[in-house]
Amino acid sequence: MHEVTGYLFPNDLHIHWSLMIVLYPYITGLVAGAFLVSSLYHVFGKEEFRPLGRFALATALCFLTVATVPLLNHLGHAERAANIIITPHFTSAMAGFGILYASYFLVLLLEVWFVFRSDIVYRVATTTGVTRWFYATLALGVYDVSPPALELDKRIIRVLAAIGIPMACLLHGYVGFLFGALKANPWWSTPLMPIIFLFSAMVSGIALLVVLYQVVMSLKGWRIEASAIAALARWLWLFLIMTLTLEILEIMTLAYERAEEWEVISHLLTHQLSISFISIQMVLGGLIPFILLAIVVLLDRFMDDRIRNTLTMVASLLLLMQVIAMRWNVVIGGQMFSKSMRGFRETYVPGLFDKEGVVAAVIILVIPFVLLFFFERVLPTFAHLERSRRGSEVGEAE
Amino acid sequence: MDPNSPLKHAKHVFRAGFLFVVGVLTLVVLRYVLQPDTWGEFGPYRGESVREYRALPVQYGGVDGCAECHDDHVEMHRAGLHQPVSCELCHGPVTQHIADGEHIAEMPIRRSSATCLRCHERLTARPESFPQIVRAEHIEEMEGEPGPASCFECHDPHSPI
Amino acid sequence: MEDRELETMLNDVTSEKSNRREFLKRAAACGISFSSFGVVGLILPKEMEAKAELVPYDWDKHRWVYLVDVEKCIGCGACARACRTENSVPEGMYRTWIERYEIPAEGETAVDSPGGGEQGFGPGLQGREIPKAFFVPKLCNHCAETPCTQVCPVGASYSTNDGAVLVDQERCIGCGYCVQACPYGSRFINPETHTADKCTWCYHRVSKGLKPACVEICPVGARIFGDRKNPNDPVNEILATQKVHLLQPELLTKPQCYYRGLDMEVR
Repeated sequence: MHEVTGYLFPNDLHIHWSLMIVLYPYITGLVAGAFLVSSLYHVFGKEEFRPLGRFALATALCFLTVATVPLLNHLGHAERAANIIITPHFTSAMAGFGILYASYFLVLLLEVWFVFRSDIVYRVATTTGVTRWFYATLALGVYDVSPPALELDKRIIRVLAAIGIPMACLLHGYVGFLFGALKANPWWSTPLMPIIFLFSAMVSGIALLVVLYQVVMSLKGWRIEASAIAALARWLWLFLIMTLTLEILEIMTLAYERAEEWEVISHLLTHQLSISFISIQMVLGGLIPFILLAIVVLLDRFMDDRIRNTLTMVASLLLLMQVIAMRWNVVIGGQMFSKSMRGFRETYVPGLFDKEGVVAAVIILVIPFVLLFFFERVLPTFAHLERSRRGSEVGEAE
Repeated sequence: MDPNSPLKHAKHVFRAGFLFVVGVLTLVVLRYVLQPDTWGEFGPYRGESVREYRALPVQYGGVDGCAECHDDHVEMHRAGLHQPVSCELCHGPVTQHIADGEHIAEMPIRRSSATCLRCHERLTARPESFPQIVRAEHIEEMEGEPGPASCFECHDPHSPI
Repeated sequence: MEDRELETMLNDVTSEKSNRREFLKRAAACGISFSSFGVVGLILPKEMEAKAELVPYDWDKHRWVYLVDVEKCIGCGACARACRTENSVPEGMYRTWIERYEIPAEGETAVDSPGGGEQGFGPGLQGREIPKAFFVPKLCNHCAETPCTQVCPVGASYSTNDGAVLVDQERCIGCGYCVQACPYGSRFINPETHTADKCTWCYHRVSKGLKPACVEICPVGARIFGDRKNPNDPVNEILATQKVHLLQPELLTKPQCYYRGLDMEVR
C-alpha cells in the first residue's frame, strides 16, 4: 500500500495533513495579497491601483469566506471546531486562528461595507420590492451619502485598511509560524518560515489579481489600465525576488550546515520532491516568471500594452502554480520522511474522490470565484470607474 | 446638536459599530456558556477527562487472580523457570474468560510451537544470555519429532525444564 | 460660606446635565459589578463542586517514570500485543512498538519493526557478520515539557499531576497538530474515533495501583515502571546509579522514559 524505503516509525506511515492543509495557506495567502493591493490604494493612496481597489477587496472577502472550509473538511471532528473559540489553548499557534480569523473577517467585512456603501444606497434608490428591501437591510437603514458622510467613510476606510494590513499578515504569518516553530520536523522548523509564507502569499495574491483583472476586463470588453498592470508587475517582481531569495537561502543554509537533517532533506529534494520543488517551484515557477517580470519592469518604457499584459499574465499564472507547489512541498514534503530520520515514503497521491481528495480541493478553489461572480451581480466592483468616467451624480467614498 | 457636526452624518457608523459590539458580546457570552463545567479544574483542560480515564475497565488481571481457580498450575509455574512469564502472556487477559466472577468463555490454550519460538527462536538481536535455539538443530540434537507441536513433547510450558 | 457651598452642591445635583451623567455613571458601575459578580458566581461554585468528587487515588503523591532496559529486551512482542488488547488499539496504529537494530561490521545499520514487532521478528540480516544487535521498545515518552500539549489548540491534550500525558477524547477535534509535533512518532489519529491517540501509561491501571499492561506482561523485565516520589521504588536506585539515556535529548522535551543501554544508532 505504501511504498517506503528505509525504516519509518510505525505511526509515521500515515500522512495526516493532506491536500486540504495545502489549500488552506494558499487561500489565506491569496487573501493577504489581494488585501495588500487594495490597501496600497486605500491607505497609501497609490493611484495606479484605483481601478483595482474595490475588486481586490471583493476578491479578498470571497476567498476569506472559503478559507475555513478546507480546515473543517480535514478535522476529525468538525462539529467540535468551535472548541477553538470556546476553550482555546493559547500556547498553540492554531488556537490563535479562531480569534484572528474572526476579527480579520469582521474588519474586512466592515471595510467592504464602507467602500460599497454609496452603491448600496444608490441601489436602494433605484430598485423596488424584495431587491430594495435587501439593499435597505444592507445599508442598515441609513441612506446618508452627503459629502461629509462620505468624507467620514473615507477616513474610516483608511483606518480599517491600515489595521487590516497587520491583521492579514498575522492571519497568514501564523500559519508559517505553525510550521516553522515545530522542532520535531526539520523540514518545517526554521525561523524563516513565517516570512517565506508571507512573501509568497503576497506573490500569489497579486498574481491572482493580475489574472482576474485581465480576465474580467476582457469579458466586459473594457480597457485594461496599463498603469495598473505595470504597478502590479512591479510589486509582483519585488515580492517574487524576496520569496525566491528566502526559499533558496533556507536550502543553502541547511546544505552548508550539513546537520543530520540535511541527509533527509537532500534525499527529499532529489527524489520525492524533485519535480515539484526543482522543476515546478524553482524553475518553471521561479526562474521563468522572474525573467518575464524583469522584462516587463525594466523595459517598461519600451513596452507595448498588449505585450506587457501578456507577459504579466503568463508570469502570474506560473506564479499561482509556484505558490501552490511551494505549499505542497512544505506540507506534504514534511511528511514524506519519518521522524526516525532513516525512512521515507516514496509517493503521496491524493485520491480523486477522497474526503480530502482532488475533487474536493477543486470544488473548494472554485467556490470563491462563484462567490465573486455573485458579488459582482449584487455590488459592482468596477462600475464606479464607468460612472466617474461618465460623471455620475452619486458620490463615492473613494 | 450642531448641524455641521460630523456626528450628524455618522449614524451609519454607529449602527455598524453597534452591530459589531453586539456580535462580540454574543461571542463572549456564548464562550462562557459553552465552556465545559470542569474546565480549569486542574489546569487548562477538562477535569472530567481525568476521571473518565481512571474509570476505564482493566483487561489484564495479573497472576495472583489465576491462582483462585488454577492453583496447581500456578504452583508449578511459580517453582519453574517460567516464573517471570505472566500467565496472561500465553493465555490472554483474564477478562476475556472471567467476568463478574462468572466463567464466560474458554481460556485460550495455544498448542503450537510458534508460541514458544516467538521468544526462544535464535535471533542475532536477542541477548546471548537468553535461552534460544535454532529449531531444526535443536530437534535434531534432542532426537525429537518435527511437527507443529513438537516443543510440548519434552517441555511443559508451566515448568519447561 | 457653607451655605454657598451647599447651594452650589444643590445646584449641581439638581441640574439636568450632571444628573444624567451621574445616573449613567452609577448605572454603568452597577451593571459592571452585577455582571462580574454574575460571571464569578457562575464559575466558582462549579469548580468547588467538581473538586469534591475526586476519588481516593491522590495523584499529588506520585510522579511516575518509565525505564526501558534495552539490554534485556528479547523482541517477543508480548508488550505490544498486551497493549493492543488492554487499550483496544485499532489495527495499523501503535501505542507501543519494538524496533530491532542490527549493526553489521560492514554496511548500513538495518532497522526494522515488522507490524510493530507484535508477532515477534523474522530472521533479520543473513550472511553477514553482525557484532552488535538489539531490540528497543518504544512508547510515548510522557515528556515533562511536552511539545504535543504545547500545540494542542483546544486544550484536549494535557499533563496530569502525576506525570502522564493524556488526550481528552471528548474535546479533541482531530486536527493532527500534536501528531506532527511529537518528535518520537508516538501519536496517531485513531481511525475509529478520529481523534489523537497514544500510549496513556495505562492510566486506568496506574491510578488503581497496577502497572501498565506492557510492564506487567514483559517476561524479562525490560520494561520498568516506577514512582519518583517513593524512595523505596527500585527504579529510583537504577536512575541514580546507572547510566541512562533519553531519546533525542537535545530537543529538551524532558522525556520521562529513560533507556538503560541505549546505543547511538537509536533516535
